[in-house]
Amino acid sequence: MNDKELFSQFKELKKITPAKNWREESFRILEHKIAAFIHEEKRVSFRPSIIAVFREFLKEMPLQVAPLVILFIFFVGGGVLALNSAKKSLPGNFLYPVKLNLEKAKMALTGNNSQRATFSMELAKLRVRELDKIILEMNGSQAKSQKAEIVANTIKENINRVKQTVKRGDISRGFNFKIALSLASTTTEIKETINKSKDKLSSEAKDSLKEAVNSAEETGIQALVQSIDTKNSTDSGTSDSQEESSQAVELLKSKIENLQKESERIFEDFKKSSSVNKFSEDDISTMQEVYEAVEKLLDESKTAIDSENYEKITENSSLIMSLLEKMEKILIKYDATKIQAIEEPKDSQEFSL
Amino acid sequence: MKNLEKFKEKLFIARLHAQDSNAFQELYEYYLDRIYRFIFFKVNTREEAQDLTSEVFFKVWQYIYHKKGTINNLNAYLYQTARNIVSDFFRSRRGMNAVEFEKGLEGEILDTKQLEIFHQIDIQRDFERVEKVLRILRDEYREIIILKYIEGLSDKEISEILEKSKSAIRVTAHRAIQKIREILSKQKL
Repeated sequence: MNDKELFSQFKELKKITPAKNWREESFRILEHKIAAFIHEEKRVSFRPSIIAVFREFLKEMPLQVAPLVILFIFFVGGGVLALNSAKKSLPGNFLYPVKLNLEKAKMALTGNNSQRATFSMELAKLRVRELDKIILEMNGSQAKSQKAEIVANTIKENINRVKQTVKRGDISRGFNFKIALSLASTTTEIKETINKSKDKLSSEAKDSLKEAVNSAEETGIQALVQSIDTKNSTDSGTSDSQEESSQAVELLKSKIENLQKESERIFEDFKKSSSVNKFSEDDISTMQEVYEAVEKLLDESKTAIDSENYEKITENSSLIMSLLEKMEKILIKYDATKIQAIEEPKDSQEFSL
Repeated sequence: MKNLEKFKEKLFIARLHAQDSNAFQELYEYYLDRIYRFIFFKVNTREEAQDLTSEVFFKVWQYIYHKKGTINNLNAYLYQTARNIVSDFFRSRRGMNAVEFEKGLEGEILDTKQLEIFHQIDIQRDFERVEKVLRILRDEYREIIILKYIEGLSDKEISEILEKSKSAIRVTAHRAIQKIREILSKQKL
């Protein structure tokens, strides 16, 4: 073997790497080792950074439960200095379970339903931001795709938690209004995330996010209805609540308008798609029937707003959303991406209403 | 390392010192193969190499995130930690040689995946030969060969890791190559 061959062999030795199954497991094992180390460490320090960390966690806590929070944090979090790092961690990171535990602790110590609903909304927003970071870092990695699925599912769960709270109907009008606004902004963020992600998200993650959006829309409408100051409500009619009520009514009208636009868009897309796709007779008639039903419900909802029959809107909106979902499913069946390539319909089928 | 790489390393170290938890995972993914290879040629089995590699990263985590230590040269720190851990490992197993030739030959690289890479019989034969030689070299020579010719580090980087002058590195590298040639010419495989 001459020198050239020898050096070439040295370069070949660079191909020696750890076994694939060990490589996949090793970081997880290391995470557990580190988490166990943190948990066993009992550190008490009075450095200013610790006080700052605690201030941040306790600022919204009632004073009487602050000692419980401190004890709980030491119990679940271990090393105090890890808390700051935990807050910035993402799924898959060894401090992420610590972060989740701290959030659960805060939820458990949150006093009433209104505050729990608010906190659930904050968590949903936080998860959306985490998902955005994961998507930015995604490069076809299977692990990152799974992390995205987990986070998307958590967003859906957080929104559902808010939905349950709103459905129970035992939160104040003011809080209903705040929740409605918060849901509206979170829905927008989730929709932006879906659009930005393009093909990076798996279908499971996208489904979870779409369910979260639908749930948020439905819950937002219900929260708005519950926030309106009617003659029958038990809350007194202060000028602030009346102001909020009229804003809520305007928001409801705008939501109904958006649902109208959505149904028209889906139906238009369906008509365009028919020029390249051969739809079954069943699907055509179903789409037509569903579209008519949605239009009817939307008209009823507009009338209900004018006649201040707001409960009707809650009832109708959930029906409208499930019908819109049905329309989307029929559309997706026939590969809706072809619609964008269409410039002129060729042999379009005639639709009569 | 080029200037851009140096700058990136400084930035990365700053993130580690700021206790950025994502930085640790990035560090792990970037250095895992290098540290594993460095240890692999020094120990007897793949399992020992894996365990000691994990230990290296645990120690690094402890130093940065737990003890809040500062690192000026990440590359040097990681390799030095690996050297220390391997030394401790052998010290704790008194009576065993650093490399037992037969055990080192237990087909560590001959799993199916790596066999695919060396489809030519001649290449495979040479590969085994060189790897065996590395395992029987003295540690001082072996380290230089791994860092310089396998990992492709510069003399400056190696001098920072091994805490020797650049001229000493060059001389040792030359002697290591001479030794390998000598062993190869004597061995019949």
